[in-house]
Amino acid sequence: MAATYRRNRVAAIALLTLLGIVGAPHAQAGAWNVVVAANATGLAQSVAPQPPATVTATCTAPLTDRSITVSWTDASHATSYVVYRSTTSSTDGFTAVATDITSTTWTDTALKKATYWYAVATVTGSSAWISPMSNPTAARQITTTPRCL
Amino acid sequence: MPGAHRTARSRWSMRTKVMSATMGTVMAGATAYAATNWFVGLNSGSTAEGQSASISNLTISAIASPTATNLLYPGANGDVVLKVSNPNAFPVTLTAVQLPANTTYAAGYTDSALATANTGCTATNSGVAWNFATATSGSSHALTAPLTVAASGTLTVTLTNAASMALSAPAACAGTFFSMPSLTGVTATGGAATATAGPATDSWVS
Repeated sequence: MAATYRRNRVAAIALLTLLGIVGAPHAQAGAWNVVVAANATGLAQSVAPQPPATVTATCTAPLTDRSITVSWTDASHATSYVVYRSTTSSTDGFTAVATDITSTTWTDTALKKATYWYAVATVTGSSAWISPMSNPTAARQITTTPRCL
Repeated sequence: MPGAHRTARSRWSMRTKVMSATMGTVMAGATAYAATNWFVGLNSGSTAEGQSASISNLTISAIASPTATNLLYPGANGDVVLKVSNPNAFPVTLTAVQLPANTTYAAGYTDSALATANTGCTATNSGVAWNFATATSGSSHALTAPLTVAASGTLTVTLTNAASMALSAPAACAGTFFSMPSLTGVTATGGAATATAGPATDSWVS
């Protein structure tokens, strides 16, 4: 009889131990900490500011007016533009004549007799982030008449 | 008293059976619950440490494809693209990420493979950090929707506008690839779930 009790008790304890109730530590539901890789990262990318693809210079009407209007196509991620002008050649002598332009057109006024070339650069985010200059426009002339050609 | 012995033995046996059955049911339920609710952390350089199960590490890595739609520039946010690999034999569902401090910046690279460092745009000056990160490392941010990675599977995710760039970022950081600062943890649950179709898009908004 005593042997039977012992068998039952041993069986019960064994079962409970197996189930984690007695003796061994058991998992706490919903609180398992699992590790992931050491360098859990992702890839981000920044803009490389690009100049407007197309820039044109046109004589502002009336042609007797001494002004030239510069227009350009919108560049992606542009927050403003800088307009450059040269009276030397299409490749040299460019200096900034307008900054912080937020539209895609700008008019150069009160011009003197000379030949003018223009180019535009894109600013993205801060003034330090500026694209190279665009290709220059075709030349425009202000004559002594005065007249824009 | 054979009869009394029989009665006592029978009662003990019945008590044992009832108790065992009850405990068995309770533990089975607890085990099932545990198998479906896990908090998954990111500890640098460690291996899995499940308390009573063998659970392998998840891996989160930078990936170049798909390309980010929203790109960084000073004062703007940009996408972060990553791949989550789950080596476990059960799906894992990510519900939140824990971010490093907002003063921990990403290092810049000249290539999407992150092989060549951009020496002018480093983790010191890039100003690129996780969006909504706080001054304290480990802040938790819930994903807008859970992401489930299939058992033994991978999931590519674009985290929309999850990175930010400071206005002070130098011009050298233009046209640069960034390895985002390592996450300090993720919150995840394990167990039966339908895997999210990839490539997926997600993020957090606070």
